[in-house]
Amino acid sequence: MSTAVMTDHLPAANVQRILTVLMLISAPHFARLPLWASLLVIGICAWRWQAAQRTWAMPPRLLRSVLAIAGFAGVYAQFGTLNGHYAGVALLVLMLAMKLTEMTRRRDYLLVIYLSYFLLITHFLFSQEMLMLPVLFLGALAITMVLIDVNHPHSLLPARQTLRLSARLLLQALPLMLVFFVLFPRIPGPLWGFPSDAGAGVTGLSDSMEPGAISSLSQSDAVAFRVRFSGPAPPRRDLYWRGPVFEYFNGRAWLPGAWAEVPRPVTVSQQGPAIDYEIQMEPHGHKWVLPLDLPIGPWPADVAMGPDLVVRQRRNIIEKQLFQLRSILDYQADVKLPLSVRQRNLLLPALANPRTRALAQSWRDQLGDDRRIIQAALSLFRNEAFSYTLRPPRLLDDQPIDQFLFSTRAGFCEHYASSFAYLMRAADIPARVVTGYQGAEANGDYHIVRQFDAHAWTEVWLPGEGWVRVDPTAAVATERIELGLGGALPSGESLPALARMNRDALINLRLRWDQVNALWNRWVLAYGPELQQRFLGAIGLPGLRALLLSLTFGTVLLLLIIGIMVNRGHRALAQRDPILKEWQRFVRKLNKAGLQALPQEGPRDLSRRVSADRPEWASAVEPIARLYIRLRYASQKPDPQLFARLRQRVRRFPKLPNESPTSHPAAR
Amino acid sequence: MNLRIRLSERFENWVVSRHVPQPPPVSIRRGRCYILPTRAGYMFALMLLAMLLGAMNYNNNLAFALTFLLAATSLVAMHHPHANLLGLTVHVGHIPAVFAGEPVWVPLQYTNAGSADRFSLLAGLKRSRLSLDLAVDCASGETAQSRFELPARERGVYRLPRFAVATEFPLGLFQSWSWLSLTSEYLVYPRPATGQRPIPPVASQHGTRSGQQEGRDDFSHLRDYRPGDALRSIHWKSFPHSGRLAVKTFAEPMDEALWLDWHQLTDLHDPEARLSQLCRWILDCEAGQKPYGLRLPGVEIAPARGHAHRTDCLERLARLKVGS
Repeated sequence: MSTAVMTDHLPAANVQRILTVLMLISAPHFARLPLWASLLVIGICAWRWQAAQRTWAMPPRLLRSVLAIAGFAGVYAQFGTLNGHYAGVALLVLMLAMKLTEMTRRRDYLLVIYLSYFLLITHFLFSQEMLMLPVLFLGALAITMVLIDVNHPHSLLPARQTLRLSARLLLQALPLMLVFFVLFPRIPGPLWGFPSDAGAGVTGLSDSMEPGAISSLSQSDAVAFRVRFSGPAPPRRDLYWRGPVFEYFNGRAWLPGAWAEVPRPVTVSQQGPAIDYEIQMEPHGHKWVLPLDLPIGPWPADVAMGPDLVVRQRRNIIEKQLFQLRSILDYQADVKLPLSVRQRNLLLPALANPRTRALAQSWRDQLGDDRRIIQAALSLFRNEAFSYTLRPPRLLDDQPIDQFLFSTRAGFCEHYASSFAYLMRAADIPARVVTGYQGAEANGDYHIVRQFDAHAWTEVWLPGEGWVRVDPTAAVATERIELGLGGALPSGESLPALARMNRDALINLRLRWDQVNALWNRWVLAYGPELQQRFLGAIGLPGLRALLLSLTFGTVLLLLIIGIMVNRGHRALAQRDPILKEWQRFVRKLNKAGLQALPQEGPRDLSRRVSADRPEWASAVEPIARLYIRLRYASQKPDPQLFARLRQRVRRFPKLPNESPTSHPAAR
Repeated sequence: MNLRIRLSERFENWVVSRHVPQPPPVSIRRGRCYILPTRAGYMFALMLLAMLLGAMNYNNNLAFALTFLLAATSLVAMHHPHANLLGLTVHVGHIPAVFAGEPVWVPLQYTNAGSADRFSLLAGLKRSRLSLDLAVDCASGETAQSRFELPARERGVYRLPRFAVATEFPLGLFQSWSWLSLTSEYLVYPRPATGQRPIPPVASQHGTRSGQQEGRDDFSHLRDYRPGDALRSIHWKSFPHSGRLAVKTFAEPMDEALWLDWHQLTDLHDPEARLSQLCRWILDCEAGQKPYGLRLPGVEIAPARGHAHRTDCLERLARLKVGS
């Protein structure tokens, strides 16, 4: 097999069909692959196309090995790893292309086709939008077409015929697929974890907050998550969606404290009614869920609230997920703050920002009371010439808080949250920064929260009250909280279309489309272990046993039905053709009498032979043959009366129909 | 492994017990139509498993959807080869005789009385080694010709062994097949000897005569018509009485004919070697257009020549039972 002189087992047109399908399936990946890899793949396909046409020999094994090693090395050099979605897909596409250079035998074709199915599935790692559904079906249709081709190698079936066959197979499979989808037991993943770059490239909050982090999100109108409230939605100004909390300030950026996730008892006491809602989370690649401030249990599976009151899932959210949550708007949390936590939330880097420290210290000296210090800080923002802008002047590294509070005085929510928390800590009030989203836009029966709704605020800890939310941005730009970003920013700042206050028809259309997508997310993409159990409980099939039973029963039943359908297509012509059926009944009767009809014998020959062998039957046989020939060949539309006569004669054979006229009336 | 072999043996025995040889043509019935996954089918299942694990790991519902679509397709595809085969009529025509050591080609005729076209029909002795290259299609209401190869055998008369008619169409994941045991037979002529032994001379008391002059002088007796006999040698007068064609034969002086005689090959002790030699001579005589007769133990074929005569003689060689 090492010789290079192998030519195709399949006709050139067949190979070219495989190449076409392969190109179609890999085309969406080209945007994700390095350019050299895409060009290499296209080049190999083009060469293979020509090789099939001109029956060129495959390249020698040495060249193939060199190419394969170079491909591996190239991918490793490009991505620095072979483990990861992007590197994995690059590797898969390259290896598939290399396989083409030794594709001559049937099993090679099969391998290429099976790998094409695999390539198709990798698209869904990158997107699960509704538009991927046609990709799924058309891809499966095309690959199945070439699989049919490979199983019909001696002559190429017309493309229309393989298309029809392939479509029929997939259509017959569709009900079964739905049964599998709904009833196949889903287990909470992951089985072995994700590659490092899973969920990469999605926008969203990050696990640190430095100036500019949130204002960059404000340029995106991507959906962060969708919310469906069971009752009426709370007013917009109360919609604080709680994300990562930062307790450690390094002088420039806010980071999660080293101890933030260490478990400790946290008390939350409820005041006011609970709000039930469902969040359809878009993947963001982190663990945190973004509940309404402040969530209380019961928690969904694998979800828990940490001591920093952040709700996290055990694994990163890299696929769309659905969460059932409950929150309260009025609460007291963490009223008994342990000393270590209190100290952690007072910590500031030494020496920097002396003016801010001095200001905070003066407030502490003059006002004394925590509440009055908070008011002093807020009125500073409200009454001095602070402005709310997406394009703040750049802050220098050494004294950023001083610079912001006393000179530039223009910033976005992260500047206000950061400097406010700094002021509080300097005034000996425990404070921390909370990031998340603020606001939501109603669309139909649900609300959309977009990336430009990203927000940062602060929490201060007051004795007897616990953590209290203070949003310094509201002091500067009340409109941000009441109306959203578009209402708060001065005109002239660049904003995504959906954030603007004035809307046009196109935007309404986009909102309609979002409604369709929300349904897709809710019913298809979010279908997992939890939704499955709820659904099965609702239709009265709780428990794994009932699930497996109904899955088995459904599968067997559907396969039976499909089997009957498929066999109907192949049913003998006679079963559809009553005339032929009668004739075959007649032939069977002859067979029983020891007169075999020969395959090459027509009705006329048969009747002659039977009449010769059994002269006593001649008068019965000849009219049957005559009637049959007339019915069959004389006219397009057989005469029902003639047919009745044929039928009567065949049934009575070898007797003549008029031998016992009493038994059968002439009406037959 | 042992268990597997035992199981497959038991299965084979069970299959054999179900199949009493039938005269062709036969129709493939439901109870005789088996189905198992192919090697490619197992490969496909392995791929589906990998896809399923991936979908579970990433909790990716579109990946689940594709996996389930393909799994459902492969299950549905189980029905298709079955239906593709069911109700197909298989006819085995006359199997052309061959010389020992040559492969035998069995001609098949498929008749599709069904309302749907049938694709990629395969036939062969071992169902695991059916070549897709010899696959044929059979459209609805039509017939199609195919053939398959039997391994070379020694001289003799053989019953057509049980063979499989199968199909893997459309996806190649499942093979549906039926075992056919038919009453058809085929002949294997002796292998023509390769030695340079000359054809025995025409023994004649009156000198050597050219063999082209067949004795047509002295009417001897009537024998049954055999295909290839000259029309003018048919004895038409006896036809109305007997209802069968008879051919006049003429006494020919024994010593004037070329006789290929088993008994004269005494120096060859192996009977098969004798038959090989006779076979070679028959072929040589035909090539040289010489009439010849054949004497075997208990058989004597009067000298003649032509295709029918040659076939007749070779058939006698094939059918001769030796060693008894």
